[in-house]
Amino acid sequence: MPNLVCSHLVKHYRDVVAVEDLSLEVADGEFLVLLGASGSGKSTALRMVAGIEAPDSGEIVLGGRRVDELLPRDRDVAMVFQSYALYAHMSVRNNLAFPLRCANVPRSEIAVRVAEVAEMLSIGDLLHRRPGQLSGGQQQRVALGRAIVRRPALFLMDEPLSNLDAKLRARTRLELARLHRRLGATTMYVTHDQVEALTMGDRIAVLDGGVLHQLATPEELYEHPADLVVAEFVGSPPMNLLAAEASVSDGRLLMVAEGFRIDVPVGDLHPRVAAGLDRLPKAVLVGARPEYVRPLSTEDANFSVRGRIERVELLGSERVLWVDLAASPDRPWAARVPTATPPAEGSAVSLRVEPAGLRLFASTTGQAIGVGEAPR
Amino acid sequence: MMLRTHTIRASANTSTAVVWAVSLAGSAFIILPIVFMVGTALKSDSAVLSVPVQLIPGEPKFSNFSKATQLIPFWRQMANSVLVAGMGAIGTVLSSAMAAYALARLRVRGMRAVFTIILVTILLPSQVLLVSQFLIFKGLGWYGTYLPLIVPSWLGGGTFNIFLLRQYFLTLPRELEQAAMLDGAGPLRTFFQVVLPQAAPALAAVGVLDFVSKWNDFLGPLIYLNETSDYTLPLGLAAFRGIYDTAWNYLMAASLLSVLPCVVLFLVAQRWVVRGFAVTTTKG
Repeated sequence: MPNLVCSHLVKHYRDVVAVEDLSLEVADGEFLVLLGASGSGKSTALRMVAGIEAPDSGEIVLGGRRVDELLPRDRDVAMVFQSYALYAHMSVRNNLAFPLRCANVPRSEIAVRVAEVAEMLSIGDLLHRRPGQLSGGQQQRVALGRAIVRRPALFLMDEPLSNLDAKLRARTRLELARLHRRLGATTMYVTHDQVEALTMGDRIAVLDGGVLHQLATPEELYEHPADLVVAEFVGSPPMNLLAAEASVSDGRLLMVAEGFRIDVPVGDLHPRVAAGLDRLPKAVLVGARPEYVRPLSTEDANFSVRGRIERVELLGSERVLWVDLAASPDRPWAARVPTATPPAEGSAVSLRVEPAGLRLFASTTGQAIGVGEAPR
Repeated sequence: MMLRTHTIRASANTSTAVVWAVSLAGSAFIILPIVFMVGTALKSDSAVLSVPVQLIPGEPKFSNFSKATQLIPFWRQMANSVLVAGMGAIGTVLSSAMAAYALARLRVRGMRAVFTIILVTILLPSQVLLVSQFLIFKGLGWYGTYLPLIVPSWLGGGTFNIFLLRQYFLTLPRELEQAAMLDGAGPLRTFFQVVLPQAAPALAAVGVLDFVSKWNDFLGPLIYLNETSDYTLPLGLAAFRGIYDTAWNYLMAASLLSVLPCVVLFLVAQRWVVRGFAVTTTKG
């Protein structure tokens, strides 16, 4: 039974559309990530669920109760802000106790719950300090603690890791995931960092321009993006894309562009892509993730993708080759190769794409070709 | 090379000297009258108006200070001043903060119009309202009491203070109030426990300035108070000025004593006052 249901939420600011017809469900205990660039509407959506912003239209149902007309304090949600929003004039202990005092919880119980949360987050020896005396990581844990101590039905987190340095961020990601498993709490988490989304989310909702583009598991999002927005946002390096003309005949898929020719049997494609070929438009964007792209050591009749290596990046266990293609002058294609003996920078190279890794997108709409919709 | 460093050091010395000269001149302009006050307070009756004028008398009479506090009911009047200025300042701080917060945060149609109307009243000199206010207070039966001096402070506290605090509240990040909303705090708890503590510097500035202004207020007590034992200090000090002559030495002595509480208050709050006039930027 879903814990949170948002139906057709709309929010406009003057002429700007912040959120357009957003509908999604979060299951009980699920960790849902709202992923998108700045201005995509993810924070606005979160704030509407929190009650800080009122939607222009739409419904929000939490735990079977309609809450979109209730005050924030009556919704049983807790929020961790990007800036932590700690009460600077109160001690850490009083910051943690504040929401319980507002709820008229008995003093003895407040003491117990504050101690419990402090132990959970390892901030027990900081209780007497003020927020101004804490490091960024410690402040973030206090902000988390203030939310956890309330035992709400829903946790909301607005980019809580963005103010931390990279190393601390990686460690805190793990801690947050561990906490989530321990608490089993339904969580809605907003971020622009696709690594955070992929590593932490049970499911991810990708937003752009106020519109929900895809809501799916990290694997589904990565392997079968529903459209170009998702394909380009998720994955690092991003998915390679190239405009080409596509056609199917005699059970083979042919894609052609300047200096680019791929001719493969339909049976070699991923079944979900093959299933959409009956609706194949002429103008497509050919997509392939870098791990499916390799330099050719010998000639292959099916592939004629020629280019020049612009740059070779070392990523520790492997290298990324950035190849300038004639058909894609502004966007070099990336290929992941093992570290041993890569080709040199500046040399000419031919590329091969693993047919099962080929993805196609309609040029006009940006929609993925094939069975793009995964069950939500 | 040597010529360049010599020139740089020389110009640094010159500008330092200029700064010192200007500072000393400015300080002298302010301090000299106070030195003269102190000197006058220590003079005997005959030495006060003697010519040539002595800044500090040869034989200082420190007993003038205690004599001055006996010639008028000085300590009683100081207590009255503390009551009027203190109660007034507290009322100003509280009510102007509440008005300012409403103007800064409430998103209701017409709020800008309300603010503009309030702001326009700043143009009215208080003397223009004198007669109408007097008639109102007389009609209420408040003549001869402290109520006309204290109650108005509790009803908004003055346009300038509302304006100052409104601007300050606008600089506070809304996230803190949003966090309080989510934590379950109602509007009053949010205002008193979350917002006001953040505004402490601005509140201290408003409080101190209002206290000093009420401490020095002569016109209000003059109009509404008629028992000498009810007088505040500015009114009480006026007793030293007779029809034919003025007891300058005792007047200066009593004046110096009457200034002390304000000096102490300002010294205590000055850290906060300076911060109150600068608009703070939000930290991450």
